[in-house]
Amino acid sequence: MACTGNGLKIFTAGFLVLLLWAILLFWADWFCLKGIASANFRRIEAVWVMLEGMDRKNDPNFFPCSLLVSLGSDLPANVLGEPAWTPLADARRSVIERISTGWGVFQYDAESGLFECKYYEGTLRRQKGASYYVGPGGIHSEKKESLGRFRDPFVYEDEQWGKYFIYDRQLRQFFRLNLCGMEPQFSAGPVLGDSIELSQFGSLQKGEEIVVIAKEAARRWRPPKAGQTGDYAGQWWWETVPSDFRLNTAGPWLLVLDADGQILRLNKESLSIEGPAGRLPAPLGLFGSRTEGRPEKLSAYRVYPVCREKNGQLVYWGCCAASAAPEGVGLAIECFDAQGQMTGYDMFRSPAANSVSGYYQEVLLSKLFERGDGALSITARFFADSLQPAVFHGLSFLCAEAIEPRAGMRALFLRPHSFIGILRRCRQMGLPARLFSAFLMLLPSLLAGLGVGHHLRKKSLSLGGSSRAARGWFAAGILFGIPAWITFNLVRPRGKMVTCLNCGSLRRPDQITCHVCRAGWDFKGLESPDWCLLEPLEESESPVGPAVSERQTDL
Amino acid sequence: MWTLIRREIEDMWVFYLVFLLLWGGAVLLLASAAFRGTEEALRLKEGVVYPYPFLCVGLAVLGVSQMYFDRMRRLSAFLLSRGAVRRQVFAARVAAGLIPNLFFTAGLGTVSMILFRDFAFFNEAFRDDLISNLISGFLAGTACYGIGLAAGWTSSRVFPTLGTLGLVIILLSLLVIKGFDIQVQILFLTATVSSVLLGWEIYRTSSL
Repeated sequence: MACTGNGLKIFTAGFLVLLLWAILLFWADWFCLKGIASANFRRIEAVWVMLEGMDRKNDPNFFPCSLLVSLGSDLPANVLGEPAWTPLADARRSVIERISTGWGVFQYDAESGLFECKYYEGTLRRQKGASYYVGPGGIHSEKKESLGRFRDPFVYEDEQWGKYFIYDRQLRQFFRLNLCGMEPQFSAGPVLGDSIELSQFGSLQKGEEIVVIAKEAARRWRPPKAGQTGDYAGQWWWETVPSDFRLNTAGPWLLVLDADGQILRLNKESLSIEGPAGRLPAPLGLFGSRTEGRPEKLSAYRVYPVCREKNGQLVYWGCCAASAAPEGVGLAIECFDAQGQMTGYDMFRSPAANSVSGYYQEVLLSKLFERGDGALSITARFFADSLQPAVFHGLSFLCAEAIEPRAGMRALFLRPHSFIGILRRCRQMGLPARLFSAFLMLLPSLLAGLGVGHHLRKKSLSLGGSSRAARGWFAAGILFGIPAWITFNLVRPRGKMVTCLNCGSLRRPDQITCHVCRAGWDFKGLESPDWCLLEPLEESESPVGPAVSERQTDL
Repeated sequence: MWTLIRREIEDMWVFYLVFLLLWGGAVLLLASAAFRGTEEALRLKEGVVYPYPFLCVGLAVLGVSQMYFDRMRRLSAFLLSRGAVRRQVFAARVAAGLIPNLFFTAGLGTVSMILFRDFAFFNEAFRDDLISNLISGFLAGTACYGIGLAAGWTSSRVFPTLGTLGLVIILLSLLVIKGFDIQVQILFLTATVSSVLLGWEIYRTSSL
């Protein structure tokens, strides 16, 4: 590559081009992803659940739905600028809230390892009222050694300011704090067993995209018939949940989510886990493969605890868990009763839980292609994928399962949600079939890379590059495709070529020898031979025969 | 070296005046938001990033102008005849580009921290967010300036200015994609190093 400048120039220009190209492709892909999500949302990503256990076959005109859950089309937009998702990420370390006469501040001080609870009257500038310090050992108005230290605590505000649940990841303990009464109350729960790896507690939610649509509205909602189009789900967005149902609290329980997707019930009084409440469902992806129902494998999930108010008491009714596939298309929902037994599931669920429902294939994939925008978005996305450098395209296939789905939607170089990445997660296919399909998907970018590489190799040689440099550009063209071509054009020599006096081809003026014939600049043209003719030859002895004029005369 | 830096600043004094005005406007806006109430004061950490797109565009145009006028007026040829070497001229140029960005960020950080302490209240998480936002904004500015340096060494006036603005918009969209976390800081830092080195290589290998 030395022919076109030094290596530093090539690598710096190459990196910049690659970065800017990746950003441009990201936006192209983002618009396509948004188009797919939007097309998908208008059709079928609203599912109903049969919470009350009634069989819909008894009355074809009445669906005994209790909840209708929809996946919003704004998933690609919401993930932009988002911090990386990690377990317990949604839990906070401090709560700052405006209350009736001022501000309540409950914040963790890492230096002392204690929570500080303060009340500010009016604005935060004027502190007034009691301050408390909370540690694992209790609560006190002064910092004391006996309070101990929290190590890695997270706090959840239960319904109103002053009622907190604290979970310390290192101590593996729950704590409860109530500041609302005359005297603050504090209690610590037992240490959790090693089998539980907590991922979230209190509000079980990843992203804001999954929303519930009203129970009563769901009763009137009808699933789309084959060939029917329209805003099936969207028209019910603004309905309200009936007043005796509460979807934001589990009453006497606090729901916690394990890392493997199990939803557990924590007793708010004893702070011990008393049993299962359900689990995150496994949604079907774009290619019909079932994703693992684990928090870090899903692009969005939400658990709605369902409580019914009876005589002023909240009775836990069960919970409804919904989750979205990693690429943001495909929603699953399951409902569980108060004991954690499944009572309802979404309309895409087949009798054999792990196989792909034929209805799903018919509804999701065919409907996506039914109208122009879905088909256009998918086709455009395939072309945008093919413009990706082949090396990143291949690595996206290899790393698709290792990248957290929401982070993957913001990825620049490795794209786990490209079609080849979705294919990697397609567990229903065998490995040879997946590899072959991946090769077919990789083929357009490989062929484009091959064409660019061949062009760069020829161009490099014609510009006086060594064969080694030409091989380097060929490899760069195959691996990086169009960015390699742009880089080459940025760093190639700008001087005009001159004609070589020896071979007649164009050569570089800044090189000592011609890259074609290896002639130097001191080439003097035709030189006279060492011998010379001293006497004129006899006409008969001439090696070229008689002169032309003489031969013509003879004729 | 100091003389070279001073000369660069004197040559481009208009840009420095614009940066000063931008900084003053940003401080006024932040202060007015803080005086409006606690809720607005709590949003100061987001508010500090709003002036950065303007600063980034200004820095990119500054980089382009430094290189373009050097080539057109043969400034480097004159300076080299006075005993300076190319490395010194380029280093002084980069320093003159970094100074406004550094002062802008440090000044904005100090003011917002004071406002934050007085009108909201001190919180480590908020402070960390504020510092992270300021670092990302500073690195975005250096990356845009570097791109301006790399693109400015041409004889055309229109292409480097418009082309650089396009590249700056593309590059700044990284903040929309990734936010202000460590990933975007690493990307901006790498882009800064790459673009400054590229600018140096272009400058070093060009005939004056």
